[in-house]
Amino acid sequence: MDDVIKRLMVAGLFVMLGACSAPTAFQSTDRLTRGQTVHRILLMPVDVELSLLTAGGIQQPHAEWTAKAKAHIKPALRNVLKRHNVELIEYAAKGGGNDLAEQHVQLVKLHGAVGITILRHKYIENLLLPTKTDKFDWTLGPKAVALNDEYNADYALFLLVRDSYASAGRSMMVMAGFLLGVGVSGGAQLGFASLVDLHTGEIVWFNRLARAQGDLREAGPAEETVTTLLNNFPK
Amino acid sequence: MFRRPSIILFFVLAGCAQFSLVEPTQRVTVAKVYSVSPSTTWSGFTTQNWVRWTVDGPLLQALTFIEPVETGRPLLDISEPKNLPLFNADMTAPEVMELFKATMQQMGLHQLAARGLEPAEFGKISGFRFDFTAVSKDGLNYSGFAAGAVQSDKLHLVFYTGSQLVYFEKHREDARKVIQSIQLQKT
Amino acid sequence: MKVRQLIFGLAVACFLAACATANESYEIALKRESKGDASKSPETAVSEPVDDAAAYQLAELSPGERPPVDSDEAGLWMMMDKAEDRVKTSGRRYRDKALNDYVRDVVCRVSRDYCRDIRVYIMRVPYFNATMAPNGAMEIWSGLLLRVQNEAQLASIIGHELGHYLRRHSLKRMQSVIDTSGGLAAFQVVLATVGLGSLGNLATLAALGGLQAYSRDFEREADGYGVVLMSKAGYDPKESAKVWERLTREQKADDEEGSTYSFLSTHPESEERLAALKLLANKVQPQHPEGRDSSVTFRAVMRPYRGVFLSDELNLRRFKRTEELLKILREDNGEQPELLFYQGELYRLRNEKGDRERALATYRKALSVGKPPAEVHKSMGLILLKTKQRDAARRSLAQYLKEKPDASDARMIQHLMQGNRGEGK
Repeated sequence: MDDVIKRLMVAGLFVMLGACSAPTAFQSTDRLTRGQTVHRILLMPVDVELSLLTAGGIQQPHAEWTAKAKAHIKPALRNVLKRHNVELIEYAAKGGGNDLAEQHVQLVKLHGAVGITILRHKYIENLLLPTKTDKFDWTLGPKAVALNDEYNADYALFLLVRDSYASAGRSMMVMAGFLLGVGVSGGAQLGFASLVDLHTGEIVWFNRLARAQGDLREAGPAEETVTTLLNNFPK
Repeated sequence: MFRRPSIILFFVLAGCAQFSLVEPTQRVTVAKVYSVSPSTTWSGFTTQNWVRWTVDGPLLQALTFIEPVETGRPLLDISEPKNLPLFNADMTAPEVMELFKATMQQMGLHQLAARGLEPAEFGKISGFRFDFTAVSKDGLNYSGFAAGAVQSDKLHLVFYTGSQLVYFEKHREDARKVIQSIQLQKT
Repeated sequence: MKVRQLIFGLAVACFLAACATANESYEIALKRESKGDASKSPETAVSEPVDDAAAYQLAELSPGERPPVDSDEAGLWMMMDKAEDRVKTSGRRYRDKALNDYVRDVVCRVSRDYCRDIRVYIMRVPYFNATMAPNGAMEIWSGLLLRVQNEAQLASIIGHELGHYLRRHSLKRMQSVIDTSGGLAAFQVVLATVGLGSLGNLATLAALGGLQAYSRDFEREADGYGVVLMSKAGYDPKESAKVWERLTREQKADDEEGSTYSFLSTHPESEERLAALKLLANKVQPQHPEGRDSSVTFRAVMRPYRGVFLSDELNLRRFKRTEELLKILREDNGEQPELLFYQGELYRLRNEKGDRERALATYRKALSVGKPPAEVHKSMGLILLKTKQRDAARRSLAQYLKEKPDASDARMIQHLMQGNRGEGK
């Protein structure tokens, strides 16, 4: 899955095509129907990677920034989701190598395949699936309840973010490009957030992030990114 | 799953839609020779000599029709990988199954285990079918089945795959009905 | 003990005095091993106790060490951790417990103090390869397990990979790639070759040939470590050269693949490497003079998997190489029925002029020396059907079903026996 994300970023397709017309969020519900006063949401391990975009065009993964981003994302999520009466529970991967652990692994991998499918076939003009016109009905199936385990959560939230930041050298190239009227990408954010109803396995909400700004390395801007990522989150 | 063809799709910005709607209202002929009743609504696309139908996305499930393969040709008409096994018109069904297994391994379906190889009617002629399981490189489990026959020294092969969780089962019956409805056209 | 180490030390000193730079990197490894006390003269410098952990600390990496989070290395490490997660649940992973336990055991024996920092993953990939990522994740491919003759040869590869790991070659290489710039592609290639190979493009990696390829100096250094580490673990270091001799035989047999892109072009020249390894091996004695007798155990452990790995190998359709490999295996093991069966399979799948007859003859030979897998009767039957020997075909197919009543293709085989070919005409 990682190679696909990387290729998408290289192709710049998302930034190019991610402009005005394409919707950012899809949902099959605009309300969190599960849970009474509080909605318990299982936060799956956040797949985030920050990298430095060098003048030569290399995306160099940056451990310190990634660690910072991870540290900022969780409190930002909690803040943003507070308005939706959400209690966030952190998922811990199931050890033991038994059937249940394997089930968890397969569910997460299925989500990966579904995520890629949605990114490709609901957002890219040329690749729209005619069978999904005006339809948003992907699911992890009833077995998704296995993810719930002892957490007693109603939903699971998956997040993926790839974020690159221009080095000084790269920034200069961007400026130079501006002046010459040539486009040079100065780093981009790409990712998605998806909400799974753990009772049915349905993906009830999905939002794509694709833009050329945003900063996950500091708390304030990180919250802005998370807010954008959770755009149109069900009430 | 079949990553290579999909990546090729990615870089087409020419503005023409890659997927077309296949409706169950009437018979259609795909991959030159298979006349079928679609049984449900599919999204169809073409990759080299394969025509593929899906409802939820090819990474999740796909019904694939292979244009008739002649002696000395591989199942998929691509330049890489170079060492794809080749069909030979005197192959028996067990050898075709072997051919399929070896081809899929190079196309990204690993640890393919085939079972239940048996004679079956295919397009009103005597052919074969088998079931299989496999794993993608990313470790997602898949199930599938295939059916085919050799006619006029050419291999006719159709196969259906889907993730073991949810998507194989979702249109398994639809795929079976499509295969059952096959009438082979003369080329 | 001391006398031998004295002689060893003298040999090192003489060698260093006489030798040109080509062997310098090998010697670095040896020198480090002997540098127990820098103040002593060369002749007595190698008097450290056999189990001196301090000698291992001379690697650039200490056991349990992780890089600080703001370092370049941390970035690479983070990528490797993520990559390892993918490898752990990859579709190519071969999870058989007995095999994994055995290989892990050998890795621990060779890596000693570093054992707990290392995770071993066996991948079902039919090429000769082992990779080790800077975070301690090691992959060993089934193609390698098929090709090494004994535990000592396996240990030599493990030791070689450990050399790269202990000397942080991957980080150094990454830095040099980034320094000399290039494009995104270059970095991806680096990631693929410094880390977990099975996640990359296999065709590219196959082209790289033997093991993940670093600069020649790094390769020589790793070779040196390989020899030293394996001998410390009790293996006969002379076995290390044999791995490459066998691989070279295989690659020479394949004229299409051998020339342009093989490990020969990225690893030290084979002759030079073999010579250097042999020289090193003569200077380094195993801890137990007899060397660990590992052939018997190794063969017994590998036996159940050999057929699966050979099937995968045949799927690659590199028949010249595979034929040479089978020849080597038959030299190792004698004319075993299973090996003869796979030789027959090679002819059947290759299907060139005269191959059907060759296949039948080889299957018959397999049957005459013992009990090959039941599939031999199926393969014979399928060929006999094609050569119109219906009765003989039926007999063979019947024998197949008799030996394997629960065969997954039983119904089709029965159908074929009834005179139908399973096709429409």
